Amino acid sequence: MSTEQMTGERQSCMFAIRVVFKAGIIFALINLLYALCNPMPVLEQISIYNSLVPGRERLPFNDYANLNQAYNISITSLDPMMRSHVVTGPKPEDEYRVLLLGDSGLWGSPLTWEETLSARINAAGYTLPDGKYIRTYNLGYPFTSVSANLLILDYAMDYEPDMIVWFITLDSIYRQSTLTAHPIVIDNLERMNNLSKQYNLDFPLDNAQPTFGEQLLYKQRRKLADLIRLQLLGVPWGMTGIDSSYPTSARSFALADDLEDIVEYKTFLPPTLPPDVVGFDILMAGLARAGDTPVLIVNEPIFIADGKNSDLRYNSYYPRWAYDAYREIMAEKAAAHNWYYVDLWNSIPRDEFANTPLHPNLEGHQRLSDLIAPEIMQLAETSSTVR
Amino acid sequence: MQPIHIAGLVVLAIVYRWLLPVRWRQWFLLVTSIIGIYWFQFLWAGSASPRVIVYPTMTLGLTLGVWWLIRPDEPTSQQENRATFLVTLLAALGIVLLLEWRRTGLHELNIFGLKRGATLLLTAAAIFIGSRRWQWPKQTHLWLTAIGILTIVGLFVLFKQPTLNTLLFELLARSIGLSYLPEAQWIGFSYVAFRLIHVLRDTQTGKIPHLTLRQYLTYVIFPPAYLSGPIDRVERFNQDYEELNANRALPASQVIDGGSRVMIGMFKKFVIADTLAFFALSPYSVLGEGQALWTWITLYTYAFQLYFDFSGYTDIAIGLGMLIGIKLPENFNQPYLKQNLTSFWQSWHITLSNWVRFYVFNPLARGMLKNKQIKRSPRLVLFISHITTMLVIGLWHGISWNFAIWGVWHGIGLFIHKVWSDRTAKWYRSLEEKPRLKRAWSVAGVLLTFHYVLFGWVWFALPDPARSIQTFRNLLGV
Repeated sequence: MSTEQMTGERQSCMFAIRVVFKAGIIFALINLLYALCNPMPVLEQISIYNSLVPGRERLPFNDYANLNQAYNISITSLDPMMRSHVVTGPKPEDEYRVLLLGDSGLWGSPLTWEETLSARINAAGYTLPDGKYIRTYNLGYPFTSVSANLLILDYAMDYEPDMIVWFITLDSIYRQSTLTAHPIVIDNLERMNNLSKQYNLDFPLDNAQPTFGEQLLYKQRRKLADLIRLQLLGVPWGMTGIDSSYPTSARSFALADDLEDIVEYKTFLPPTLPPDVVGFDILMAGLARAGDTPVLIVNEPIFIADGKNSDLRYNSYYPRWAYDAYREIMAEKAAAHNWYYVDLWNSIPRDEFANTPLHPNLEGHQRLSDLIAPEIMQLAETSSTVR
Repeated sequence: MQPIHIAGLVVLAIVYRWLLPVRWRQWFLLVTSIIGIYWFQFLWAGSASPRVIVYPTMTLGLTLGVWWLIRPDEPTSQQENRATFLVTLLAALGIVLLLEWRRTGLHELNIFGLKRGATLLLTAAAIFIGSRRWQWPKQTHLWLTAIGILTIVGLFVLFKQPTLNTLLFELLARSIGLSYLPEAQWIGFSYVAFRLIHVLRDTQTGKIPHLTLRQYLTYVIFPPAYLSGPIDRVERFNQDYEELNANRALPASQVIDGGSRVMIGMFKKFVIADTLAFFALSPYSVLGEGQALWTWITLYTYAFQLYFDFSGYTDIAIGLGMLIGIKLPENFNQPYLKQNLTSFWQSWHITLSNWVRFYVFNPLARGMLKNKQIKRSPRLVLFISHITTMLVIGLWHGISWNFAIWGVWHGIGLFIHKVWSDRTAKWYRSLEEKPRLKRAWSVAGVLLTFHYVLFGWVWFALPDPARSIQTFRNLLGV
């Protein structure tokens, strides 16, 4: 190789090294600046919903379809999540605002938002004697957890609800990992910790403050990308009103009537379900947070199987002994604390459930709306507290 | 492919040019090309399923089979060809073993199954290495070339036609136990098929210089161009390939050009195209009545999403090629700014257009014009040639009605443009004296061409022609 060629090669080598080095420096600087400024809390406040596009009728969630099919994405940080919801829009003067809290059954898996309980109550056009019309807001979120419900309730209280309807089930209130490991809890640890201190919750949570490393742009890139996607998806949502895409198989799934002969519930065996495994402190915290706003607690309906081992279990989720014990405890607590409590556990027939024992189908949501609406009306008219 | 994979390829390309001894480059490129075709299939499959092994091995087998038809009988390159074949065989066997091991674990390795495959391959190797090339008569060679081309086309139809595809999948599931295969997608085969046909045809007509197996194999499965083109010509590819062992230094300008081309491509694909995908027309778009505006938005978005996606991948391919030392041909030249459909097809997927022009349009048109037995007017010849050519392009994308309709749509458009352009040539030349009118005409031409192509995308984007018709209704608000 000639001297000239060697010089040329060295020059091109040095050039490339300089380019890579400078790129590395710039990358590091941008990350450091980002971490120092920590713009995420500000960025999460920015939303095109309820301004440029209508707010979503359900909290953003998508576990099934492509983003450009369902026009939806799962976001668990409260600010962007709630700001994309129609509840954070302006409240009309003649509106009686009812917030519905619950799990995926309430959210409406695997239905469209128009087919859910909330939409059906709204479509029925109930009005109160004072002329206010009842407008429900679907704040259900998949994965059963009263702690996630509490966080959503805490946020939503800023939007002047007139009533809270809180759907619970044994799994949502059972003191298990989903109470602390629910995605919404994990993504809003600081808020959860504040609630925990305020209401003396027995909640083993890690330190909520993110480290400096976690605040680097590189570490936050996924969160930032999802935030941007949520805003972009607002456009097709606004144009089409579509927020989900489930296959026909999910919508017409037939739940099995035959069950396994397992009597264990989590780690417990019959006959007793210890009361302290049930997260009543979280429920009480929610009631306290609601303040003077009336709260209607609903034990949501479950699928009751009719086949093999149905004498041992109600469905794939609940053995009979555990669920019956839970209902007993709930009834006692409701009486003791003077809650406004409705037990709808067996109010929906077996053929009105969709793909899981907690998901009513189209007809199930309609039936539920026919059951819940009078309760809402009654509570609204009496305006009595339930605690 | 994700950005991290492309970044890895960039690093590999730079290491290849700088750290590798010069004499190893071509061998290294060959081996990495072979690894590449398995890796691409693996990325698509998302798991080490049997199809990861089957399809790339079929690619290699088919490529070597075509080589058998075209290989020159030069003693000087025979030793190198045998060495290339052995390296290919060993590389493929090594990858197959590794993937089988990964999938099943060493203790569950299906030795019997691999034995059968290995026996077949070794037999083929023995035949290849030990035999001499037969000196076929010209007519026999012609027939063999035709059979080769028909075989490739036959395989293409088998793997691109949905019904045949499903039947094939069922057969594969029964024979080799494929358990998960949402679609039997032979990654890269569309491009490989066209490269093989090009080599077969041009060798038969004497247009291609003698190639070594290494040159030929690397050309067919060159990793940057394997998935989405461009469809290079082997003689052009070979010019750069032969420089690989001669030129050690990677000029700074080539690093800048190649690197920045990759970055531009990644920005186009992963930022612009993937963002537009949220709004673009797709089989999932639910477009009902009263959604005319949204339908228009999805259609315009699709046009640009498709352009940025495809041209982005092309930029990445060209950039990677530059870093390796192979200058791949351009595939796009501002297609949406062209004033007529002919210019559009000279600017959109340029290498595909050139390919079909060389191997379909020109031979067909010439053949029909030369055929004295059946008299056809030149206009009819033009019409048939345009329709056939665009039908081939349409069906190359997929053997289904929507692609056929799309092809015919463009064939008709091209024919109309040709007739119109012939009739108005004199008038158009007179526009030179009227610059304003000429400019206005140019703008009108761009808009008309863009929208003709835009409406054609409705057929392209939606697999079901009935949905396409519904989409047109939505666009009109009907």
